[in-house]
Amino acid sequence: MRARGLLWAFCTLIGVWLVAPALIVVPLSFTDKPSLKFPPDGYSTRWYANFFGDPAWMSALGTSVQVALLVTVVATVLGTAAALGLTRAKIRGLALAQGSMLAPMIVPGVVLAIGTYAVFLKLQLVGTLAGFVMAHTVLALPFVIIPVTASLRGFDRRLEDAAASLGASRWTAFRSVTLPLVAPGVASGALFAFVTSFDEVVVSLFIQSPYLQTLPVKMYASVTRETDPTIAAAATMIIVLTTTLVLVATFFVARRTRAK
Amino acid sequence: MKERTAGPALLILPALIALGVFFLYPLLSMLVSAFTDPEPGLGNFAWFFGEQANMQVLGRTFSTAFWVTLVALALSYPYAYAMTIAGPRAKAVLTLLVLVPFWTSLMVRTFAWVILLQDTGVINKALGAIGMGPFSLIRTQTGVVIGMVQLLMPFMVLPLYAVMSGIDRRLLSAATSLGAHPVKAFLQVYVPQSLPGVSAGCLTVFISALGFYVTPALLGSPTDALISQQIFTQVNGLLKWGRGGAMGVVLLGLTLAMIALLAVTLRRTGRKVTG
Amino acid sequence: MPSSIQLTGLTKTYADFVAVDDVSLAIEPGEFMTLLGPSGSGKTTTLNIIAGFVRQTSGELTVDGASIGATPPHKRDMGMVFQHYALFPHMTVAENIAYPLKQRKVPKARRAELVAAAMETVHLGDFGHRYPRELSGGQQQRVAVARAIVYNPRVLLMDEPLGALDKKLRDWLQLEIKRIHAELGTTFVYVTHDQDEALVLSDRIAVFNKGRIEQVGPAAELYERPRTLFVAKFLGESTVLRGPVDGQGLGACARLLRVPGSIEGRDGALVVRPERLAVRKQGHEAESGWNALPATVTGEIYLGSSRKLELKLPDGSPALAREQAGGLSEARVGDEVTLTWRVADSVLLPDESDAEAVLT
Repeated sequence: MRARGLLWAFCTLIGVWLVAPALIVVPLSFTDKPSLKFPPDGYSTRWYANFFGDPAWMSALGTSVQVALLVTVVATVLGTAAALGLTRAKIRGLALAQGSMLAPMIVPGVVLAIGTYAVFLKLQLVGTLAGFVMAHTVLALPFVIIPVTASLRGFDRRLEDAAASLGASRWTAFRSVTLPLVAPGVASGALFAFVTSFDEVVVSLFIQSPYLQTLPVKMYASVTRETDPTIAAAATMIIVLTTTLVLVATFFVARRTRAK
Repeated sequence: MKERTAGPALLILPALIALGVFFLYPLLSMLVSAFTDPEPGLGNFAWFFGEQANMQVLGRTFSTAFWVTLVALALSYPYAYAMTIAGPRAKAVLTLLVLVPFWTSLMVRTFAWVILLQDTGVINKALGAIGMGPFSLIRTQTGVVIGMVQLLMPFMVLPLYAVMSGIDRRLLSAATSLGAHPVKAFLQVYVPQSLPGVSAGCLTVFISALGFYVTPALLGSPTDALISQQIFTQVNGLLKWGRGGAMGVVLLGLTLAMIALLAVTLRRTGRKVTG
Repeated sequence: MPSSIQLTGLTKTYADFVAVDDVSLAIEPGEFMTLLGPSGSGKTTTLNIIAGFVRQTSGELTVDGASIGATPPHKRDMGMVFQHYALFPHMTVAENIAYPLKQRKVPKARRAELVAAAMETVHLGDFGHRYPRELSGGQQQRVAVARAIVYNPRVLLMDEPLGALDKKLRDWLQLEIKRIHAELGTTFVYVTHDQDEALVLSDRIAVFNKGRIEQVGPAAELYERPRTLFVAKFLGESTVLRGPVDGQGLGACARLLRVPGSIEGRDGALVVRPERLAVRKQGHEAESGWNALPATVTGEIYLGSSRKLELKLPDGSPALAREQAGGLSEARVGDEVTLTWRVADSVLLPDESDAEAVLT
């Protein structure tokens, strides 16, 4: 019983340690002094005013959201299609195809970043929206393919045959039977895709230009140069955004699952 | 079976093309530049393996990854174990605590660690309050390890938990009924069965740590750079594409070697556990 | 030398629930004692208290006269066969069986001998190098038994060891367990909810209900002379006639039935086993020392060596008769018949209406 007590005390410490970094950023963003001293002495919202008033931060935020949304669409469509193919095709080299789809997860970010940089210089994609979208899409693909493949494997193919026997075309059967049933997998894939893009730093550091930066890139540059609490305000915005997204998605998926 | 072969295979194509252009092509061009820039040959590799400083970087990268993995394992094992014995509510809380860093941006967390690890930061103040310190944490390897362990811990806890929750805890009762002291029973019966989770978690954390860039760049000292930082400097700062490429090839090779190593050990222990 | 076990006033309470309620039981050296009862009756908790996995709230537990209530499980020197065997998946069969010997620091050569002997005892062929997963359920069960007996523990505990197997295998392994018990002479404590298993295996059976022991005794005694209606209904089949009891008999189905013995001014239940009921032609008069009741045959189950007749009594309650092949009556479904039985073959018990609730 004493061992149990020790274990719980230990877990509490670890728990605090896991969430503390995310939590100190929030109060810090409300400091009234131009320093990153924690805990702050007084509170104000001046750094949010700064954040929303600064065209550089605002454009970085805009770029990030825009890129992440586009990546979500592109990666989810490509990834879902690929997952369908991977679970249903009977061709040679399927295992190889599946393996290569997941490869971006294990290649170190810097390695991919310098290669991408070289290619983008050639293709003149550095500092372009399309460049960001494609580079992030490749990184996000595995995170879509894994959950969608998992839900497709749990899906009973006979339901499609049943729909066909009831007069549905292949596409109608897919849209009206398969897709709704694997929707939780697709939704979590889309969520992963958004967050992957929204968080990406390393590749973005290479393919950015002074005119087109994402929010994490702007933050990275600010942390190395300034000690301005505007960064904390930016970080808080990121936390709020991803947390909201995750909560909404969780709620959505939970409700769908319960509805079944 | 109907024509369920050609059609589905085509669905893979768009993703494969995207991967080809934006993943494979970049890696190949890095590989090519490693062997051709500024002139064809093995010059870049000779430079990399010839310079003492580079070997130090490599050694430092390995030792950092090693410590990160070890500390993460030491902290995650009891944590994951607690998750398996917790009641439903406690388990939900513990899971949430692991997932919070998962969902919090890497950049945000690294920034938080920059603040926490300052010489006058929260950690040093807390240590000072109990009469210890101050320690220099930021711009040291210790600081890098602390930050990286926290960032990578979910990747250790989750595979551990997945394996541990499949272990039948009644086996511990069986072992004690057969005369084993509870501690011995745990070491002889529980731990061996959790090894697949341990190796999977360690591999993920180790290879992630090998290639980590942002955290060592912001928490570590520029003079104690890791290999990913050196790659960055070579390409972005010095425009030495070939040298950067060669280092990238080395890093990628090491990563793949680690994965192969794990695949072999997993297959061996897997055979033992699953029969 | 087999051990005796003595439970005295053993009680285990959880927050709002009494799992074991004042259980006392003396188990003789070398005895095969079965704890029988429905799920939640406290039999498994009692076994876990003996094994040391559960600490009793109060009461005493002694083995060979020495109190072991505070001894941790790994020092109790008892063998246990778990419900799902609890074989270590990462060890071979031989390693599993050698495990308790290793804990006792038995030298390696001796270990191999003992493992081989234990495998011999349970008739487990050449499976030593296999992993548990590669074995069938019946084989795993033998490994579990071998592992629990290899170090010659003073007591062998078994928690529904056959529960996970199919019927045919179960029947066969019951005989194996009986043989092993005879061979080893160790004290066995066996938990089951299966009455047939208990009847086949046990020297004595302790019937559990709601955390208490209802009755302890040899199988024949429990079957022929149950002391409570719960025991009568849990062990074997029977026809139960309920009604008020006075000095002359028990009133049921608008008749006064003669009863063996008497109970004080309460409602009684007269229990008759199916093989004691004779099916006669309608209007058959009861001989002296016999009871008779009219009934309707509602069903017939042919079992080869015997046949079971389901009947309905005048008050609507069911009755059950069993006839041996060779002594079959001519009754068919739908026939009106007379049921007769010898008063001495029936048992009069106090009526506990809640016995029904537990069983259905």
